[in-house]
Amino acid sequence: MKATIMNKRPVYLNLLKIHLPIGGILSIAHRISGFFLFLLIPLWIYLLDLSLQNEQGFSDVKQLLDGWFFKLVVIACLWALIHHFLAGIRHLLLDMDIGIEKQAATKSAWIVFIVEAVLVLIMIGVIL
Amino acid sequence: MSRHAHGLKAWLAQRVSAVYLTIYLLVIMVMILGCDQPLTYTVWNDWLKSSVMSIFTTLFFFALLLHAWVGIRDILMDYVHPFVIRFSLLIFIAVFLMIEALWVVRILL
Repeated sequence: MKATIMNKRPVYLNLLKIHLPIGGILSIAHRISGFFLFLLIPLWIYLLDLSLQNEQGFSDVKQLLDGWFFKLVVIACLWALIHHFLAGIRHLLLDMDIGIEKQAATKSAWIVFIVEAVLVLIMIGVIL
Repeated sequence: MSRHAHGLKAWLAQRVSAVYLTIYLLVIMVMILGCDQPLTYTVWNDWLKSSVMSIFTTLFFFALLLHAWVGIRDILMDYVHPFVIRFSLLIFIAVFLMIEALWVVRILL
């Protein structure tokens, strides 16, 4: 009997039907950006290695980073970093009970997205 | 050590590393914006290989890899449930991150 009642609970696993609040969207984006940054760590260590080997390696890296493909990679990476950074600072503040109330948390989530948009536009402008 | 204390340690490591990463990135950004020399190999090499910068940059990568470890571990614990697969992935990621750490040490120290 108990089992049948339990089974009637609505289980919503259809990701397209779940309406995430803004804080939830921020949270999942924090995760995705962190995972993306993790995947690219070896690339940056490799480029650091190459750039410090000798004169030739340094100019190779410089040339590589000037190419359009790597410009896109840098933009994607900095976007992820800007997002992860801002959302992370919000997270640290929440840990310290700053802005923990629902309204304040919703507001700060919006602030993260707005500041992010401004910084990303500036960053793209600087790189292109 | 209890499971709870393990979680607390990971939580703390995530925050402490995050604070160091933040400070390092902000300092580097100010240094780069304030640099008026053209960036040549010698300038770049002398700057990163100086004792202060090489130590703080190596520390930056250690903090980054530790931060990544806690984050990836959280993701795996949330989405990968079969024990063998989760355990194998954790080992794989741990070895991968340690190789990256050794690589950074070879480059900078």
